Amino acid sequence: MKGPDKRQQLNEDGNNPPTKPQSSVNFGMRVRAGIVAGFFALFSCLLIFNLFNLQVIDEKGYAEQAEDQQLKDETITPNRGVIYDTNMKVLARSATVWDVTASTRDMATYGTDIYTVARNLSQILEMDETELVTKLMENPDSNYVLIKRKVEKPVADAITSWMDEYNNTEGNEDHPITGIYLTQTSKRYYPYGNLASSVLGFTNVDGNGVTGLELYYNETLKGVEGRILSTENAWGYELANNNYQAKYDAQDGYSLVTTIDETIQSCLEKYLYNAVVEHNVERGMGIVMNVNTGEIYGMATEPDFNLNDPYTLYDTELANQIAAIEDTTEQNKQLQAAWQSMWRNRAVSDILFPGSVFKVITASAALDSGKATVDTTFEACTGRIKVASNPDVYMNCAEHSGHGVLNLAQGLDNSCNPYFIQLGWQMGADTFCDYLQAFGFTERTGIDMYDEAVSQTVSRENMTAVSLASSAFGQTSAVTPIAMITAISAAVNGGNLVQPHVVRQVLDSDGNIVETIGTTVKRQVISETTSQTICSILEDSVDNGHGKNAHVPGYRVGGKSGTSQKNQGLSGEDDEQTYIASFVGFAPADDPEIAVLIVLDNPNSPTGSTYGGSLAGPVVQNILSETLPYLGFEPEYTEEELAVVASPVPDVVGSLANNALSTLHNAGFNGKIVGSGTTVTYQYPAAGISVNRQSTIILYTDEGATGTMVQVPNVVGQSIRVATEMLEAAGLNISITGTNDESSGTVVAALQRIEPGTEVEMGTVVEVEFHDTSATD
Amino acid sequence: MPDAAKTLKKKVAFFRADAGTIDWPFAIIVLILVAFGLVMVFSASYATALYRFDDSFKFIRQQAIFAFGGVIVMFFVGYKIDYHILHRFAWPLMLGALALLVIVLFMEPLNGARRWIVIPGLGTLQPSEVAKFAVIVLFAHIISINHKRMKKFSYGVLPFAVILIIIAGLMLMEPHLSGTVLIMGIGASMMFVGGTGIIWFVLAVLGAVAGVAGAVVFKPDLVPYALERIETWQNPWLDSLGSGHQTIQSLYAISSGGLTGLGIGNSRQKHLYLPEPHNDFIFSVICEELGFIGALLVIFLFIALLLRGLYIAYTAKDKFGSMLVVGIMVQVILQAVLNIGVVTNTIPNTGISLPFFSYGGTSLLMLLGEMGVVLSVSREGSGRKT
Repeated sequence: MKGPDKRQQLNEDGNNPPTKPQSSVNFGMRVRAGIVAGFFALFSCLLIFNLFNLQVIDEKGYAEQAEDQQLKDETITPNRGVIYDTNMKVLARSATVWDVTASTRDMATYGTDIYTVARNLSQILEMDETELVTKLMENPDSNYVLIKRKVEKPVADAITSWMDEYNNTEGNEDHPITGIYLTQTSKRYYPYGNLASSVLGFTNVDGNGVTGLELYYNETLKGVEGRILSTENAWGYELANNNYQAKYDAQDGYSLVTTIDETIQSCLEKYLYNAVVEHNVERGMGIVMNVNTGEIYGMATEPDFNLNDPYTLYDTELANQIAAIEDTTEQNKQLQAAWQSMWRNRAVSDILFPGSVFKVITASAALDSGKATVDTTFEACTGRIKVASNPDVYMNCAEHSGHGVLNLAQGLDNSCNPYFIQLGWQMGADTFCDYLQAFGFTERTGIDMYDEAVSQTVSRENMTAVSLASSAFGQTSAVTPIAMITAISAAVNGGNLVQPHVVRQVLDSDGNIVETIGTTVKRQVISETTSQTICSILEDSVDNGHGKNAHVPGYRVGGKSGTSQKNQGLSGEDDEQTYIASFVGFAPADDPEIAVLIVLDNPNSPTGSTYGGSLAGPVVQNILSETLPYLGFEPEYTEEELAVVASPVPDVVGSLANNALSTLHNAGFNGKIVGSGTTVTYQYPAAGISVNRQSTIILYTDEGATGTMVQVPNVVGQSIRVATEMLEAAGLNISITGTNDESSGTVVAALQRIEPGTEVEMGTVVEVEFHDTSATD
Repeated sequence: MPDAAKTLKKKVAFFRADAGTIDWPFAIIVLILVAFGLVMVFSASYATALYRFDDSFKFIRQQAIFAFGGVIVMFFVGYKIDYHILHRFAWPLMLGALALLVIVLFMEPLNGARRWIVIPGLGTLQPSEVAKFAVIVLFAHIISINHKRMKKFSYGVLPFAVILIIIAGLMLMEPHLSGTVLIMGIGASMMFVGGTGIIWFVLAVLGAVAGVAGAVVFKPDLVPYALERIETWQNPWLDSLGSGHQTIQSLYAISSGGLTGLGIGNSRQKHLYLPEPHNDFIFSVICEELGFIGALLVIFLFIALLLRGLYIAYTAKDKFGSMLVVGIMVQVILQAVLNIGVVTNTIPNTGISLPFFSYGGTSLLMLLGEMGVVLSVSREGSGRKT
């Protein structure tokens, strides 16, 4: 465009209204320019409105969403509290361990050789090298690849020092080891392994309780997580100019002081486990409880599991079976079921027929309600009793030939079913149900344990003559072991139903007491007099009657056996029938302090017995005989008992043979000299070992003599006298467990704890368990 | 009047006896915007610069150099250049711009578009930036000549329409939609102010509506695509990892600022969450660091610039100068409101930078050169006054 003189032409445009003489811009242009400017101003208002909504009102919460992505929320894991036994022995504690993680992004950034990392780490962590390489390769550009969880300090230190050494070696500068991180976390340790496994429970990887106390008291033990909030960039790194950081300290978890006594618990588990093995029991449950305070000194389920390795099935056969399952869903299902079964605290979670143990409750109710006295008699027991007519229903007594006429004490001692059926009828359904309720069978005991089952009883409306009959002797109400021992405790402690509990104190991390859990007496169930009567009947039963397998020399023990049929086949013998053998014992019988309940679910004993008196009674006896002296109860032996009571063997090595013999005699032992020397050079059993008095200590007098080996004879089925003679003849000593009532012809050796034919040193004590085979319950 | 201006005025007087001084309020607003912009470019860029280039100053260093040079250019143009010289450059500039728009189509595409011409050793040049200025100058030129005939189609519509259609056609081939929208907006605004009959705008709007309707009828397969675009605009979370990502991160930044902001330098969103926080999304960082108050400040600065520009346009010595100022102001403000519209999700996401704030050396240089033209116009206008 080549216009002539544009300046000139444009200057001509300057004919503006005189009011605005300085501009050549006409009115129309001004208005239109104003409109354009106004449009922009309007649009700006819209923008300001939007900004106000976003920034000041922010109704959609974008700021919060932004923080979600910007803030790194690191949790500080609090230390989980300790679980102590009653004497402050540590049953569970947490220790610091480290998770090993890798940042493949860092590795890539700094030129770290993944193969070098994998080779060295796999050695330190005892992992498969190729697996580690694959893991790192499969997660490129990641800031978090978990390599191994919970390594302990030596391993963590090894990793750090290897990295330091490598990175300080010349020539490695351009490919240093980077991106390996150790994150502090904690791990739960159970110093006693299997001890009280079903009671304590364990924690999962996240540090939360899975079963037992760990679960029930999870919130208490766990503490409060701390947090560190800090800003991170989109690549996940903390910002250098961190303008937003907040730290909330973690609050460590509280510790639990339990009522569990490690010594008593160990003792309970030892004897329960022995019984489970010896009698091929499917599973055994045991509880040791203070009858007055409700404190649980010991509670066990056998077989148990290792709390430090809770996912390994103790039953290797089952484990192999499950491992062989091809369908993984099915496999997982079965594995889960097997775990749940193994972890189950059956002493509180299983309900079983208590059998004749329950007769204690029926007897207490009858006496306390005044519906019967100790002298009450009924129709003679003929071995069975008709409980319904048209059609006729009979219920059997364990003693098929019948007991004849019995009073209440005899009925309880003989565990006569027809007697108790009639006693139940005499009481009536209402009274019986009142006591069922009063003894706590219609509710949970409230023990501080996870997954407590509630006992199942026949309701008042459904309590017919037949169900009353079977309930009265313990074959209809299905109860948890904990409910049973709690009710028995009430029956013998003067009549108070206490709430059992496992934790007695909660401590903060500095050891200050946060909470003390004392005794809760729920109610008085029976009178003190009734309770005393029950105690004396049950003591008599142990001393002279069917409970003698639980007799502990030097102590006054009361007890009651029970044998129930699992399948509720109330009449007739059935080969398929499985049983529950149980026994409850308590001591001292004149002022009961502790009770022990042993329940053996489905025993298949080589002795052929299924009776609670024979199978569970000796377990109670063994536990009481160790627990009572431990708890500070002084034994008061009868003269007979004193003669055989166990005591430590004196040290006679180095003495002249004759002096040695008299030392032994004075201590209540016999001595037998082997060899021709004059001085004792070796003795067996060795000094200090606790051996029953009247045992024979073998003294060797030859220079350099060691023990002579002899074979253990088979004494099973022999009477106490014969078994003792057989062992003496073989140069061995006998230790009698179970009953030692020689007067009864029905007492025979049921088990010997050293297999016949085993070569042992002369003088060895062979433990033999005798059962009173006349105890048919 | 400041002493410095007085001395400068003497020098100007040496060249042009009737010339006044430049419009200082306008110059000061520009200087504030430039300084503010530099601070924000540094604040917004140092994190990315550090993460990606290991050098916090990578962006600010270059931006500061261009800003310094740009201010010198602005005052030089404002004081020393008579804007009427642009009459002579109007057509050559346009031809040059068209040539560049053609050349750019033969460049290697970057991010799927051919928008930049790489000049080895000098950097990159966006032909659309040149085209914008060429449109402003040429339209001002034509309007100043034909202003009495602007109501007629052949004068008031045809030449402009032809030029705009050619430019739009070329730019859509790059493709460069946001640039096209800007140029169309600048051109239409200038035509409107220049006196093109309202009827033509009404017809254009009707034509656009008809075009959309035609597209719906004849290319119905485009409808779901368009609807989807509108949906993702309305709710960026529908595609939070894809096209919605930038918008979401921008909204996060804006809302995080609250009323008073996190404090200068304290944006968290600039730490790799916002893509190019120093560029198209720098306003989000301003919002985050300086809050609603800071955002208002920026908007008011632009409005102040607009109002002062309007005053200069009103008081310009002639229509050419007035139209130049109108074109330049429309360019700056349109870009600013569109940019803020994008980051606040008021309008769909498209790449438009924020004048004076967004990082980019050559565009800042050109922008300040244009501000110099405005000052040159203001000097003539004020010259008449004295």
